[in-house]
Amino acid sequence: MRKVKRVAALLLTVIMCLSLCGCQNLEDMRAAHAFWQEDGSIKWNGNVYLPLKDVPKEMRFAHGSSICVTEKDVPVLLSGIFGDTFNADPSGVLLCTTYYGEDEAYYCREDQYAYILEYLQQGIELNVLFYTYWKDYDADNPAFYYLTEEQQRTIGDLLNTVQFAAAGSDFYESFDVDEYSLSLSVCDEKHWFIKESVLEIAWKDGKFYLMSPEQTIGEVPTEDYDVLRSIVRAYYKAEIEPYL
Amino acid sequence: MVKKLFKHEIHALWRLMIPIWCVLFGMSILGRFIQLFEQETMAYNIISGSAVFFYVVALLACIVCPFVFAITRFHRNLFSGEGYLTFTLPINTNQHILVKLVVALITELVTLVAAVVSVILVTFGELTVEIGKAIWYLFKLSVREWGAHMPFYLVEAVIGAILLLAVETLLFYACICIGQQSKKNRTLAAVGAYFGFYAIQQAIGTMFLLVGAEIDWKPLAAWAVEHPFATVHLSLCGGIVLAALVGGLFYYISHRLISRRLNLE
Repeated sequence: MRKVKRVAALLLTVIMCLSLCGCQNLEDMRAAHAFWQEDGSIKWNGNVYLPLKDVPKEMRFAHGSSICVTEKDVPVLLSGIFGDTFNADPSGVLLCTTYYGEDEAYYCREDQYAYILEYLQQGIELNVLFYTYWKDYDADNPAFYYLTEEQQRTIGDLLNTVQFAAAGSDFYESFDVDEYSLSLSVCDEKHWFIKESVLEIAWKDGKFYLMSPEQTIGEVPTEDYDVLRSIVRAYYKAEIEPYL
Repeated sequence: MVKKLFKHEIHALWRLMIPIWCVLFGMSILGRFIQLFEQETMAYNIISGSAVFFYVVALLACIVCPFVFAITRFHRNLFSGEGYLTFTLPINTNQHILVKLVVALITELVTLVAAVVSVILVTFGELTVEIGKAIWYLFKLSVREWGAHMPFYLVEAVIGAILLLAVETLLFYACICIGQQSKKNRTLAAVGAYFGFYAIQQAIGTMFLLVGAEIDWKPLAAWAVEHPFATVHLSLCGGIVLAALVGGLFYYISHRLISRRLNLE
């Protein structure tokens, strides 16, 4: 009987120790769980986010992660089912709905609200080129590469000098666009608001090309190849060399 | 005498199930223990993935085994050499079948409880609390949606689930009894009887579909839209009645064959 009691006590102790184990997925879900307040604002990570109006409709939002906003009584495991999904910018200042169009909505952190309003009123200038890539193949958490000033200048000069012409379907069929090109987008200096796919850099048979959204293409002069190689290097890291 | 038979049936079945339950609890504790070393490495992902895989296999085996053991026990205890001893007991055929059926159902329900306990063990800690909160929230949502009908739905669903388990068990009992009527290859004959029952169910279902296609369902559909709660009650109760009738038929077949056409080896 004493042996049975000892074994039972040992088992219970082991089971109680297991309760000390954390669960990373649960922690991640809690970090991405926000709540609707009664006045229509959002509370996330101890910060209050207020609705933001008059955001230019043609602009999109550069998001770093996704969060679920639910009523206060919804448990974290059901937040994805009963909540509204929002995108958060990498700095955690701005939130926006995941859908675009008439019903899209933006929210701004309370401590940056006045600053953002003034920023919007001044007019947002989109002048920083960047592209999105996935460091860990996690489509929900992309990384961003912002072009340096020299790289931006080179692209700006090329847009003025390169002769763009319509490319036939043979050109696109002759190489894998997904593997041998990357899409450049443009954002404001704060990296908050973006316009996607303004230009594409492609490479084939040792040559670089620029492709416009209108499907016209222009060949880049060889003297600018080093700068373009430096732009695409972050996308593929060391693996880019064999493809160039 | 029935109480003693009951006790011995439980001993016979649980003697086989207890090691399986222990393996299930062991796998769940192991799975939870591995999470102590949670980290973003390939080695951890492989080990934890394997632990989850083995736990799921143990869970599936745990759910299937009481069924298999109950049917095997029915066959061995009544139609093999053991049958000579079984039928010398002062117990009638009804009691034999009922005791085996009830013990099979109890074992399956206890296995379900064991499965729930194993899930609690494998998620023990904050995750268990969150799962509890999620279940409670869904329950409150259902009560808000269905109001006073909720407890009745629950009762009807539980009765329906238990009846379905019983009907499945009785189906296999009837198949085994039919198989015993064959002189050779009794197991094969039982399998044939199972497919025969399945074919008959499909044929009856198809017949109802063809007849149903000729009927105008619009008034019924309109009534169902106006009375959604009553529709669900009628569906659940209708399912219970149908299951009871089918189960009764299988029970009658088993009883008839055992009491009138028993043919021990």
